[in-house]
Amino acid sequence: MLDRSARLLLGLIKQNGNEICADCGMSDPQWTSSNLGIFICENCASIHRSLGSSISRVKSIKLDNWDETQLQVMESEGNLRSKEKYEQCVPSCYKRPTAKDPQILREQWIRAKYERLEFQNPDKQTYLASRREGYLWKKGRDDKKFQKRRFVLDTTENVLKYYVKDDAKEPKAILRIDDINVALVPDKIGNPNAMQILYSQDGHTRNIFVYGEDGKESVDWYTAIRAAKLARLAIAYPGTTEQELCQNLTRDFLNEGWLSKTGPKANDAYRKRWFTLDGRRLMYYEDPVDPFPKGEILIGTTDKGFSVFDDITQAGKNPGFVFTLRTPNRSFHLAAEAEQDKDKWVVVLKSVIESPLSVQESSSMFRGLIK
Amino acid sequence: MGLFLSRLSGLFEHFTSGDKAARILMLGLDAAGKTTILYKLKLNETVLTIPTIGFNVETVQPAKGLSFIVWDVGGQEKIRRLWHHYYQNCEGLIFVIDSSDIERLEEVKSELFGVLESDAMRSVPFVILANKQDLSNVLKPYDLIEKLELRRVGATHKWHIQGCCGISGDGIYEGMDALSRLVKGFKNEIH
Repeated sequence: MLDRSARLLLGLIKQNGNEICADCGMSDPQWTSSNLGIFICENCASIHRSLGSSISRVKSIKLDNWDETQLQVMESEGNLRSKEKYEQCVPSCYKRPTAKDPQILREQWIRAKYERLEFQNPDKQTYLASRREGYLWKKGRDDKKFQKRRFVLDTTENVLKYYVKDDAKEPKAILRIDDINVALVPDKIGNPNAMQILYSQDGHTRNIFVYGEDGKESVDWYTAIRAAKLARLAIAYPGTTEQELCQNLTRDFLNEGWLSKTGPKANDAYRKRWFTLDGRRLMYYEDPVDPFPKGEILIGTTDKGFSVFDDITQAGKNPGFVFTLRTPNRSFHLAAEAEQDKDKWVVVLKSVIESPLSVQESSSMFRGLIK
Repeated sequence: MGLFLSRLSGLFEHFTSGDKAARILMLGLDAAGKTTILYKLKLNETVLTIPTIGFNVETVQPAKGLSFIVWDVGGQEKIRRLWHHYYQNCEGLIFVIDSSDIERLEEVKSELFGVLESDAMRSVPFVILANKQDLSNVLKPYDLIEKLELRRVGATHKWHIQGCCGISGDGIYEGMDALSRLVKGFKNEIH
């Protein structure tokens, strides 16, 4: 029972880039921005609605009425043409969100495109500057309070540093850009703009939790760190293309969640820990927002003696669904509360174990372990 | 003085606790901000809302001793024709308008009068929330009275118009306060 306009629009979403959401790439978009002439998914439609009707007018393919003029716009514009216009100069280090990314990343991408016209005006891409200075709210190392701190990112010096007091001469901490990773972690902190900066040195990780005053501030810092890392990588690997380098600027966690683990002895009790898998580094914490993990396991490859498998031998002794991670030194019995959580951990760990170590990984990641 | 006030408010609570929650219908064009306002009232949080297909219903307490069961119904054009299914036993209407969307004002007007002229909504009082007052180039409540010809409503319905911002919450409680007075009057009238 579709009317003519719905049929026409459903025909349009089969072609010219309209098959996927113009903003996050999700398949089968059922919504539109009728003035921008693009097809978008429901989640991106909700962001477009918050931009106000002067920027974007959201209309549903099936639930709204369409007049001829509006249909013509959809027909003549479409997602590909819109990209040409609104994504003219997206910096290669900019993280284009997918449907799986947190809302902050999708929202700021959409606002940057259509509200701030950031990718038509390189002048607005302030995160590409080689030095960035500003304020972020930072969680105290030993308490849960967030305090406003001055941060400085300096690509030439290869550092990210922060100051406790505005007039302080010496920074509280200096982190080498090469050694940091940053991930957006809204749920962990309970703040939509929250980020986790991981800093590894000598095989040990330190976490710094921060958030910006608003979504733009956080994403600008996130992008600035990516830009700085790209500049560093370009120096280190002169022959490599930017596209290739951009795949490793920041790593989202491959998996995170609560698991119970035993100690090294056979009769040790299971204890609940928060596990985070960052690349090849599996860390566990008493509290997800702890500054330091209680333990870190570097995941190597099969030929180095690593494996992961469902473990029924442990059934009955533990509080959930158990799998075992075997490393050359020790076997870790880990229990998830739900079967699908266990399955996900096994699949993700297996794929890490089965992927070959790059030269950089074996030298940089395992550096701290060589005595 | 403090003791007196607390006694007085205790008395007030006792006085109103027998009242049943009023059934309130919230309507308006798509993307007017209905669901955002509902959850601002319910949770005092600003949530990003996907377009409502169907409805949301929440019991909210905009003030002590005052509770509304608010039905927030989707506003996309083709689902507006389902609005009338929610009219029965409605004791108050919140009609939300995107005050920055001047282009669709005629549409707002015809939908609003469509609701008011239906039999089941006869004499039900309403509050217009002129939402998105934080944006630039918006119509103020007095502009809307003019443009929507609200004076035409006349004696059939009691009404009030309130500017607001669903994101910050500004004006929403004033709107609910006005609605509660209108609903009280309406209940006394029909009983």
